Amino acid sequence: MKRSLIFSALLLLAWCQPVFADTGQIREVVKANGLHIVVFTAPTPIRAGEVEVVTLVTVEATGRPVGQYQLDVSVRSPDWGDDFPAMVSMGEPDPGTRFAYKSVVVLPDPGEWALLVEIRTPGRDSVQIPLVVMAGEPHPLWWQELPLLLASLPCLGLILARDSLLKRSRRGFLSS
Amino acid sequence: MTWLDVLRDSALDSWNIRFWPSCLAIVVTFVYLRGFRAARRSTPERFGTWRAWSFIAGILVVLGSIFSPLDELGGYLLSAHMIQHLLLLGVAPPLILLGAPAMPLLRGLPATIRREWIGPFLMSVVVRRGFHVLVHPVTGWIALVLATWVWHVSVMYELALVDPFWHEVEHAFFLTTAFMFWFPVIQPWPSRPVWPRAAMIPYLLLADLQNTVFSAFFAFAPRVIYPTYEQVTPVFGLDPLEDQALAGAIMWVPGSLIFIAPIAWVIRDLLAGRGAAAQRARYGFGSRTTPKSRTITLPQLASARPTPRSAGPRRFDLLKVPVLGWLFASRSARHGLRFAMLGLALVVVIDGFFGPRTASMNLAGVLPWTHWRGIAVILLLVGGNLLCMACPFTLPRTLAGRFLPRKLSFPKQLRSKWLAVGLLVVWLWMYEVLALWDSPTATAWVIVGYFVAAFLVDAFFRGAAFCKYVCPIGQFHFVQSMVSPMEVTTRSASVCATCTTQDCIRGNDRVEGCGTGLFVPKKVGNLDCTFCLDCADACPHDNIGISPGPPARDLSFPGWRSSIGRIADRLDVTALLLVLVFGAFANAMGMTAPIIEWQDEITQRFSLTNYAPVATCLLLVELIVVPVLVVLFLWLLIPRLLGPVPVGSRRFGWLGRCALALVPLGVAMWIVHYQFHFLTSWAAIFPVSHRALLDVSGGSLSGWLGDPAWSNACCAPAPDWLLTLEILILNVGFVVSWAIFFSYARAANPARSTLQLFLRVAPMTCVQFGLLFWGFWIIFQPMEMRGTLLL
Repeated sequence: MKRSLIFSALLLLAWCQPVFADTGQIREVVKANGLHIVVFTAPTPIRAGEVEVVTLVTVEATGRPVGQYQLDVSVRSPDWGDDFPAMVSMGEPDPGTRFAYKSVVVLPDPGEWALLVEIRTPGRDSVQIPLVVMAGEPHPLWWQELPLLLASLPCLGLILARDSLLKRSRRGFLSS
Repeated sequence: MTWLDVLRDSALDSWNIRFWPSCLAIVVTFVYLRGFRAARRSTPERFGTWRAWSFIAGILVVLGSIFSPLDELGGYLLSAHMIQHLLLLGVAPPLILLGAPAMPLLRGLPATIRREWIGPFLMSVVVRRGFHVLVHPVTGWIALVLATWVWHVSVMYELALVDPFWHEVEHAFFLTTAFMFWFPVIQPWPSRPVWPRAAMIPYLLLADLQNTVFSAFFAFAPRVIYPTYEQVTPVFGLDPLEDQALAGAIMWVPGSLIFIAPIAWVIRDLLAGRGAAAQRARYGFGSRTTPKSRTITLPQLASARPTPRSAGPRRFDLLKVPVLGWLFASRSARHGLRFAMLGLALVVVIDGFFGPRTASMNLAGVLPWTHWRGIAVILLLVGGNLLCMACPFTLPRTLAGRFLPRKLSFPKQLRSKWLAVGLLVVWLWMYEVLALWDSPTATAWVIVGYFVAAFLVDAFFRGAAFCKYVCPIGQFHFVQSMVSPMEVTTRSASVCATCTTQDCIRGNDRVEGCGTGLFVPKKVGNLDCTFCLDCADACPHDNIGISPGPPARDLSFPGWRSSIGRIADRLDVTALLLVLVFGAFANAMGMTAPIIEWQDEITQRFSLTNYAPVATCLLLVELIVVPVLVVLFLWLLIPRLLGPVPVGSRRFGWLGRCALALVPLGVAMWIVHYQFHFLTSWAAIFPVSHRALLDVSGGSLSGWLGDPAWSNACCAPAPDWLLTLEILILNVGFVVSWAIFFSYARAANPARSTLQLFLRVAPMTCVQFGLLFWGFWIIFQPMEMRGTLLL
């Protein structure tokens, strides 16, 4: 019995061997220059601050992932003038996956941001994928929500007051 | 651009409709109108329709003043700000009070809340005295004048201008003091005046006098009083000093009208003989006579026991609701629901096996984990266990019943919740470690496995053994629906008392009785009830319905119940409840960014090929180690502090009660978690269905349908109000949880004072606070809903 249990557990562990790629929300699926490119962003929903842009590039004909390529992501605000330089961030292989590349960009403020994802693979023209993302407010700090977090305390006070009143009126808490 | 253009643009663009004040206004108006209908039915002479319109108009004025462009313009123009203040001080409160809101608001609340929670306060002499002091003419007059003057002192006004929080505090002050001021003038029924009606004339005149002084101060001031208005861009071509003079004029003329017009109304009352004599006759004012016989006081109404009418057949029955009632009551319609769900399950399985590997592009990654779960937790809360009613896994049972003998009884050793507890732990483990939500294939296998298991169990064993003893999803539904007010119950106890056949449990030629062994007249709550309504089909008296009881009553009743026994004494049920409570937090925590990063870090540090061992260890701590420590902590302390339980097991009675009391916190966490996914990802169904259609058509529809909008595949920005909603839901779960346990403690210690009891429930309060803050920590983390690739 014990052996079969151990064997089953080992089988289960063996079954969960495939690589899981934690890549984020699918933003764009593009077929260009014989490549099949999927662009993900994380976290979801996007908030002002650090945002990961992850790309998975496969050869369209064979479905095989492209192992080595260059990923650049540039960020611009629609409010910036044309002469204002974009913020560019280079990508690198994502350690959490086998084949995806990850680039971390910073969106300084909430609002609309234009991203340009550029992928350069050896022997092929580069592919540019424009994205528009809407960044929400950065996550509030807990103390900003403190009055709401403590909203249950007055309720406890009311429960105690009710108990005290009922006890005085000798009805008892659960008389009903 | 002319000032007219500015006005138009401002009017169109500056409406700032806020979520929470709108919700509050809708709830208050709904409760008022519900109570108004009942009050009008019993005393139509007191509740003319105009009162309801007045109340609604008052609410709309409040909303209009805080949502409309006035609010925005108030930052640029003192005159606009003064109009807003006038509306809050002199228009909205009298309109609301003219609606005689006290009685309708009280009658509009559910009877249990009115009797058990409002009644004790209204009956309290201290509370009533306090209220009388607040609405006394002297207090009201002083409060309004103080609020008006203090909030217009430069420092306070500037504070409200620059800080939205203080601006809202200012409005709250204005509204509250205005209600206090206008209360003796309007004297809404059933309150009684403390001063003669004629005294309201000097009362209003004096208020107008101070308003005149106040207005003149603004109208004739030689300099700008509030520096902020000197710094902002002038609007409508008004310079700050002109704007200030205009504000003074607005307060002077319309402001005075607000005080003078009611004087005319009071004089009319006096001339029409509705003065002191009428008051004496109506309220007993100035005499020792009692009020008129038809007058009912608020404390009387609040503490009134249910009338025989409401204590008999329940007033609301889901099975009597048009369309929905037919859908649920008809056996064929219920089978139709199950077949529809079976169809959906088949679609999910097919897409899971043959569709794309990316979860957020596959129906198996979207329908079960985003939509089904999100809808399920709300349905379980609102409608009871309606999901088990539509469960497609019961179809194998029906099929087996037709073709197989099904004579065996479920093994006695397994007739408890222990098997289900084990399977539930395995389910939660699989969810984390195999990332079910991320793997369409695994999801499809789980569904197929579920059908096979349901068929195998129900093919051999009588009744609904799979639902009662095996199904982890069913256990989840049972426990979550314990918080719901809706339950399958008898319509009239007297009919059951004379019933001799008891078909609801024994069955008859047409229908089997209750598969889980619940005898409806003795059944309490939703545990083990699949809402299959076989009992209702079998009942020859048509005496079974789905009706609401007090919310969470299921959790505050530890006594004997049909087929379950004493719920608080059953260790297996206690374990089930604790696994689902702690599972809620563990499951949600597994989706947060810090935990995912931590798991990745440990995985890399120990050079593991995947994160399964790390996730397993974490889950073991969350689901086994922490609950065991909590159980030991409570088991050692609670019986010593609170003494023996009034009924039931002395060893485990308190433990079961603790587990029951924790359920609302667990339910709150499940709701928060699943609603986050649902509210931010519900649109994923469109591109995923689109893609499935294209796949089915072999691409022939692509010209017509175009490409799927993958940007909707997962996770729209979370609405602003979502975090507030999540905090509120967790707080409600905590408060209900605490109230339930406190009621258990009070039942065991009727003689102890409130303070003593409060101190003695401290260990449980610590556990509840621990869970609450665990939940708070989770919702403040970025929750990752990542479409994972299975390569």
